[in-house]
Amino acid sequence: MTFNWRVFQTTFPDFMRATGVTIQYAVIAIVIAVIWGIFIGSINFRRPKGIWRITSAYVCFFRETPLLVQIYFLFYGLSRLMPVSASIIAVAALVLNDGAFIAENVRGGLQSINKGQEEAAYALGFSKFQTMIYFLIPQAVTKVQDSIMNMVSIIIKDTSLLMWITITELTYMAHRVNSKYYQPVTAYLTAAVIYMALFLSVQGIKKLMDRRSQKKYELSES
Amino acid sequence: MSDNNNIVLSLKNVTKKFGDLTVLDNMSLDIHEHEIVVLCGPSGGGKSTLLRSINGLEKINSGEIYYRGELVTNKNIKSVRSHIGMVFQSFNLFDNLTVRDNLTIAPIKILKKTKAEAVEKAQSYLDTFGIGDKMDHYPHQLSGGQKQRVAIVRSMMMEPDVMLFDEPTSALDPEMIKEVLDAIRRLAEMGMTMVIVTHEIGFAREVSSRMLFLENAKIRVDASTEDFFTNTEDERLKQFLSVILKH
Repeated sequence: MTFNWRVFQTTFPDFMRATGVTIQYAVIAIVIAVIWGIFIGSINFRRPKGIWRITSAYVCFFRETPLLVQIYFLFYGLSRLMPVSASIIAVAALVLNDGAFIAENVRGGLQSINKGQEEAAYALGFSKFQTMIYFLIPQAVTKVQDSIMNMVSIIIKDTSLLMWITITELTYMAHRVNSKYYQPVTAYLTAAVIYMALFLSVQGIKKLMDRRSQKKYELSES
Repeated sequence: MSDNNNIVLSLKNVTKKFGDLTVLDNMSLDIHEHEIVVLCGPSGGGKSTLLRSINGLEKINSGEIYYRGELVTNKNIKSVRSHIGMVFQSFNLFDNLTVRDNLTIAPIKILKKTKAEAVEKAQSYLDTFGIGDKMDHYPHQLSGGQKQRVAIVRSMMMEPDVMLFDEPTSALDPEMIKEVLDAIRRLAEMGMTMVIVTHEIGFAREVSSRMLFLENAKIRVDASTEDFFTNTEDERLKQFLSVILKH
C-alpha cells in the first residue's frame, strides 16, 4: 500500500470539485450558524418567559447528541414531513449543531459583561433591545471571537459527515475514489492533506483579523 | 424654594426593600431647579439606592417618583431617563466604542441629532473638560480621571435637566479626584441641577446648596449647606461630621 501518483493525477480534478463543495457548505453554514447562535445565545441570556425553555432545550439537545444522529434524524424525519433537498438538510444540520455551540459561547460572553455597561445604556434612555444591539452583543462577540474561529475549523471537519446523505463533498470523494481504484492511502491521504490546507488557510485569515484589530487600537493610541 | 413650578424631581413615600432589608423607608423629597443637593451618611444608609431609584435602575416597592410633575412609570421611564444624566462610580463607559462613539451614540440614536452636530458638541465639551485630544481613544487607553470626565460629558451630551452622581470619585486615585471635582464645579457654574452622593465632604460643603444626611433608610437631616455644617442640633450628624471632618 503506497501512494499512487497516477491515481492521484487522474482523480485530482474530482477532488478539487469536492473541495469546492466542502468549502461551500462550510461557508454557508458558518455564516448562518453565527447569526443563529447570536440570536439563540441572546435569548438564553435574557430568558424571556416561556421561550427560553424551548431555546435552552434545543441547545442542550444539539450539543449533547452526535451530529451524525442529527443529520439522519433531519434527513429521514424532515423529508417525511415536507419535500426538502439533501443540501438544505445538510445546511440545517450544520447550522443547528454548530449554532448551538456558538449560542452557548455567546451566552457566556454576554454574562461576563459588567452589569454597569447595561445600566449606563439604560440611564441614557436606550431600550433593552437597543442595549443588546449596540453594546452587549458587540462586546460578547469580541470576547468569543476566538472560539467562533475555532468553530470554523470544526464545521469544515463536520461537513465530512454529509457524505451519508449523498452530498458529494471531500470525504465522499475519497470514498468513491477508493472504491473505484482500491487505493485507500492515495484517496484518504489526499483528502486529509486538503482538509489540513483548509485549516491552515482559516488560521491565516484569523491571524490577519487579529493583526487588523490590533492595528485599530494602535492607531488610536497616538 | 417653595415654588412648586420649579420642582424637577419629587419623591413621595418611596420605599425600597432588598428582601427583608429596608433601604429606603417611606422617603419623600423635592429637588428644585438649580439646586445642588449632596447626600451623605454612613454606608448602607440608602444614598446610592435613592439615586438609582430616581432613574429606575432600582425598582421601588411602593411610593411615587415624579419628574417635572409627571409620574414616572414603566411607560415613560425611557424618556425620563434621557432627561436625567447619571454618572457612576465605576464610569461604565462603553468598552467597545471610542470616546467619540461613546459620546455621540445616544444623541444620534435617541435625540436624532446628526452625526456632525453630535461630534461638534462632543469636541467642545471635551475641550471644556481638558480632554479634547482623546476623541479617538478607547476607554481602556484612558486614566480613571479621564474616563470619569468622558462619562460626565456623555451625560451632558443628552442636554440633561438634572445630573445624578453616584460616588463619582470613589474609584479614583487621589490625584485624579481633583480633575473630576473640577468638572463637577464647572457644571455647578453652568447652573446644572445636581444630586451628588459623595464622601468628599469638603467639596460637598463648597459646591452644594443643600445637604441631606441619610441613615438607616431615612433622611435624618435635610438642611441648607450652611445650617448643615454649623447649626445642626442632630447628635448623630454631629458625631458623623466630627469623624469625617477630622479625617
